[in-house]
Amino acid sequence: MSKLCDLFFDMASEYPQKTAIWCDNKTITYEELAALVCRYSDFLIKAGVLYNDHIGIPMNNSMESAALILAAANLGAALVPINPTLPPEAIKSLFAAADVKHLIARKNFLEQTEGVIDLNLKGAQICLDGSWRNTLSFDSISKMSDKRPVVKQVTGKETLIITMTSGSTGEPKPIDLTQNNKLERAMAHIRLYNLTKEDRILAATPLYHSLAERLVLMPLLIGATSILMPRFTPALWLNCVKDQKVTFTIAVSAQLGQIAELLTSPFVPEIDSLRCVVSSSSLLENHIKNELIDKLNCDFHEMYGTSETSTVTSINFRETMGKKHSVGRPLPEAEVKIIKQDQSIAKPGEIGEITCKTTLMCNGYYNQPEIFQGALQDKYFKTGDLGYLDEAGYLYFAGRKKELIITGGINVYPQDIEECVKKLPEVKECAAFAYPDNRLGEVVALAIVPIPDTQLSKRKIQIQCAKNLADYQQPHIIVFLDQLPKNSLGKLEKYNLPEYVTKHGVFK
Amino acid sequence: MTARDFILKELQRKYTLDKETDIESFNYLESGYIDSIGIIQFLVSLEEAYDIEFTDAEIADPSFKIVGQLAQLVERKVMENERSKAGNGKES
Repeated sequence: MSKLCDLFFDMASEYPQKTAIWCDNKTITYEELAALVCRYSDFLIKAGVLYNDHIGIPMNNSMESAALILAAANLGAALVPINPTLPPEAIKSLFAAADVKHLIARKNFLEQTEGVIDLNLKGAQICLDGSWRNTLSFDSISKMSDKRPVVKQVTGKETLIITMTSGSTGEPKPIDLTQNNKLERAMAHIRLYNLTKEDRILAATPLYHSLAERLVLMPLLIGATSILMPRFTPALWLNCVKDQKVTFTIAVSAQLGQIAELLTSPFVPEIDSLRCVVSSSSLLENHIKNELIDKLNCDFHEMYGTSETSTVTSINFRETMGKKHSVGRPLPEAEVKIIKQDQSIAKPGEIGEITCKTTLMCNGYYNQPEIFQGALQDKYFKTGDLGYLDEAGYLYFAGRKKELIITGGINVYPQDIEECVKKLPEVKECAAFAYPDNRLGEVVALAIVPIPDTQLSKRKIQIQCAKNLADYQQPHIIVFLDQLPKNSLGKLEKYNLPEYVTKHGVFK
Repeated sequence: MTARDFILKELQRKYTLDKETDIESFNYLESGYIDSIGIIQFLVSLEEAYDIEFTDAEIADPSFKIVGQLAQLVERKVMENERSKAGNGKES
């Protein structure tokens, strides 16, 4: 099999003058992008980045980020992309868990973290935009060679991306994705959606998540054009789709909900370029799907998957007429089994945990093989989601077994927020949980039981969270309770919390 | 650090603003520099840094989304705080 970076360079020699990436009103051709990848590769080698080294990068959506992914693949190095708003302690623990040796960051990040955190990195520190103290600067990139440095050891089995499942205070689970993982996942989706070099493929989610990485890599491996949106609002999305003649995209359902809402306004541009839109992260309501199909005038698919397994099932909306609420049938690469609580395999219609075996499975959790083995049962990954299959093999999602809040398509682990808030001396108990929200699907809600006779304000909790958690982990709702709802064994009944707080809570 | 500089630093945590941008009239919400996920952290950081608290009416006002006007609001609230502290000081 060709290696990921070889495929990109093949496309660059076949379509040198074609636009490879559009981002923020700038374009770069295949020839120019290939030269940039070579210069980054050359720079990184000179900076001491070795085969199999790990580079931490607070990543945004930019041509430079896309070129750095390819440069890392070229060198057999790995990137550890993170959300730039993560608090310093979380970054430190994530980088330590992923054995990060080097850092590539914007000046803003270097300024904000200076003196606040010692990342204890042994390798190079590189400033992406300008110069900063003793760091190396990419300013000299134009002086680097645009001849491709070939690292002979690269086989495709090297880790390319380590992405984190958990944000801050909880033990992070670093998902190890090899070059071949990324390539096979991209190819599986190219086949699934019949993508060709004529497509203009939009990525409008953050590049530090695997969805956008795939959306950027797919076009670059087949000679198509990547449209990379740096920031998302529904209006920016619609204008971008219209102006850039986008033909295909995968968006998270919370984005599509906001886009559908805007489409009901009379002042939206008419969209006629889209061939197919795919919704990921959670099931869309039918009226939203209908609105999107009507106004965007294209095919509509939904998918179900996890970071560990990639996409497991897919469904075209036309099929869902008879299969309402199904998340589809397994991809050719995947097999699904439903496991009941007694560990037996569920019959059609019986609810159990969704487990999946797939050739697109990640390489495991980096440095945590036992934990990954524990998440497998007979080579099937236990997703932590509940569901059932029908007689025809269609999968239906029935809720989450593991505690998780999905806000705007991003996974938030309640224990991260709880551990942060519990550090306040006035907090006796607390519980973070999902609360329904029109814009984001769910928002983080927080139930607090203060220690009696202490003064604990909502503001103090907000400040604690703003300082110690990332932007997507901030509680949108804070409720004060006398006690948390528990069963007779004293176990917290978290599923009961949204209703319980409405009845008993004091919203401050 | 002035309120304007603090706001600009927070806005640029993910993306650097274009040099051509007219900062005074820049709408950070419409341009996606702050989104519905990031807004809470942005507000709370600003409140904490300047020891102020925005009212719901201030947050709902369209001028709140504009960098120049938000910076002015912060400065006004800081001055009000100082005046009220000075006033309290005299009474005691």
